[in-house]
Amino acid sequence: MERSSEKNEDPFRAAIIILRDKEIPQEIANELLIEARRRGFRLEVFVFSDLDPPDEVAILFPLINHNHSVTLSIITKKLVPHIGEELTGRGIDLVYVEKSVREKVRLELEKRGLNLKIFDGGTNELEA
Amino acid sequence: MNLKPEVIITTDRTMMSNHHRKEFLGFVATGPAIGMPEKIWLWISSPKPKILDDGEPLEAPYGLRKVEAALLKSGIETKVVDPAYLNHYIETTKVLMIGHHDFFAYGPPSNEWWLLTGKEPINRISFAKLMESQAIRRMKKNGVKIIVGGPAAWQWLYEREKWKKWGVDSVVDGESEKVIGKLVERALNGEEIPSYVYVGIKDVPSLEEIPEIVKPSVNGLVEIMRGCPRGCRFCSVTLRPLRFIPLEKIEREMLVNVKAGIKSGLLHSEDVLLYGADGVKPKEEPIMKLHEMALRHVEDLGWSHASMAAIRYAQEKYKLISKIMEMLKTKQDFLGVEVGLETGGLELAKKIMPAKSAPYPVEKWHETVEEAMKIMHENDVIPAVTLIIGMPEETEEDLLQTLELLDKIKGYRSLIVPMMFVPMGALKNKEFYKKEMIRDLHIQVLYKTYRHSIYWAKEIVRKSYLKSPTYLPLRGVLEFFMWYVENKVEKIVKELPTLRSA
Repeated sequence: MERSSEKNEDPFRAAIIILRDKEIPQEIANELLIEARRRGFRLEVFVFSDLDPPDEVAILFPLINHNHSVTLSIITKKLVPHIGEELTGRGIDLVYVEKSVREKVRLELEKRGLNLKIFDGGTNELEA
Repeated sequence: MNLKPEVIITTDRTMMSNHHRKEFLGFVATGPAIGMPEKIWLWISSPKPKILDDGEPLEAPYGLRKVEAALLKSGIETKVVDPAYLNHYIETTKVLMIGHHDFFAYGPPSNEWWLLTGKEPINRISFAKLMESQAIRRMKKNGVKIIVGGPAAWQWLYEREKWKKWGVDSVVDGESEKVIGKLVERALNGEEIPSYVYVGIKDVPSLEEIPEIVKPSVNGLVEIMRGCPRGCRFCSVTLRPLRFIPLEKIEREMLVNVKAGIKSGLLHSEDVLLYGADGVKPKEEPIMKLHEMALRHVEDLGWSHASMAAIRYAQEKYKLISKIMEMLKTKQDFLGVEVGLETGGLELAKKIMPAKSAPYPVEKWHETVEEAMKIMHENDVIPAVTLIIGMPEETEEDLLQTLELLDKIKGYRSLIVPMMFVPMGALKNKEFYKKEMIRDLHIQVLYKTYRHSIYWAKEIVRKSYLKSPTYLPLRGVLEFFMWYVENKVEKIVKELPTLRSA
């Protein structure tokens, strides 16, 4: 019999759109880990930002440091004007958009029917 | 088979060496060169290995061999190449894979030597030289994808400038056997690859999925189990599921080494005595069978790690240490192993390593350590004992109890290696131990361990470790080094009021 954790082999896929000097809050990291555990302990995160790779990885420290059990893949991407196009077709479950990201970007994502969540990224002490 | 595969696996010189067939000498590379030129220091720790065809080393670190085996199993041609020969592969390589157990010297004991001397350890310098070598720079210009991994993968998160500067494309943290094939395939196809991968429980390989090495490992190291049931909070290994590698699989890997002419064996586990154990209680049969099998093939055998509690239990219940040593002594004089003491502070032990002393109660930790040290001393097992200072929640009372425990074990032949706390395992969100955190009691612990180790090191080097005349030049250099360190330290001690009475 199939185990419940093996019902869906697809990872939980999230995109995070964030600008420099910001970091994801701990509650979002926890939320992502909970969703990933429900979906078979795999999480794929696409980080779109104005930073050069690999600094985007640091934005996810709250997630990396609290994760012990989930397979985590972080794909870092440059924040580009045609972001909606970049995100469509990737099977993204949820897009987290930091509140300082321009309204235009948010509207474009909404237009494409993506599931959005706005968050406050505070200040990333490592970057500030 | 293509002579020049598109996927190359390598590491720097401090890792790509058999350390004169003395694994412990590899630790010399975790410090800066002291009292001698860097070249001699590097020769002591990491002489160049025997090279076979076109830069392929006869023996390579076990972790690299596992990655090689995993890729071959996925149908990807690959080759481990000595760092000095990477220039032979500039035009043909598409993916360069680099493994290490301490890329930037943040791990123990590198960070400790760095903090105490204020000088960069050789392993860090050597790794930077590799990454800035002409061969790697030219490969990068050609568009080669660089994937790094191994037990020190986490260190890249703290060295993002170098990550960027050296053009590392992906960092893989964790047991990679199940994920590495797909990742390399994507890199070969020019597809998008993740910047960072952490391997979680769903992707940890089962026993059947762990591939056997196909080429020899440094000093005949073979893995006998993965994971550890003790659950110490500072250790990342306990986060992995416990798996005992079947005896026949271990034997096949040993034969890979023996057939290549490597006659020594090194059993790798977080606690060799827990092979086939009932929880934390060692069992006689699997341990005896393991050693009987190993001794059929190798001329001398070492253990990577064992625990104080397992040593005590195995001896008290089965006289197992004596039985193993009786077997081993038909071929060798002593057995080397790394054993964790970590702290003498009982309250701290309860918080961070409550099962370290199991099956004995944590309150009896001092008694367990003393008993285990006595058992090892009487049976010619020579431990390198690790001790961690600066752990979160450590109090003065914990340090005083550690000093007491060090006094209790001073008569037992061993090296004690103090290490500064590095945030790993369940404590990975805590702070690194830093220079400004050093207290007088830390200095006293460091000094006591130094005096213990320098006293016993002289005997160990002369009578056991480098006894053979083959090692005469190496012994001479090491004895000079110990003399130099003693002189230096005694001068410092005269200036430090904390230590004058210690």
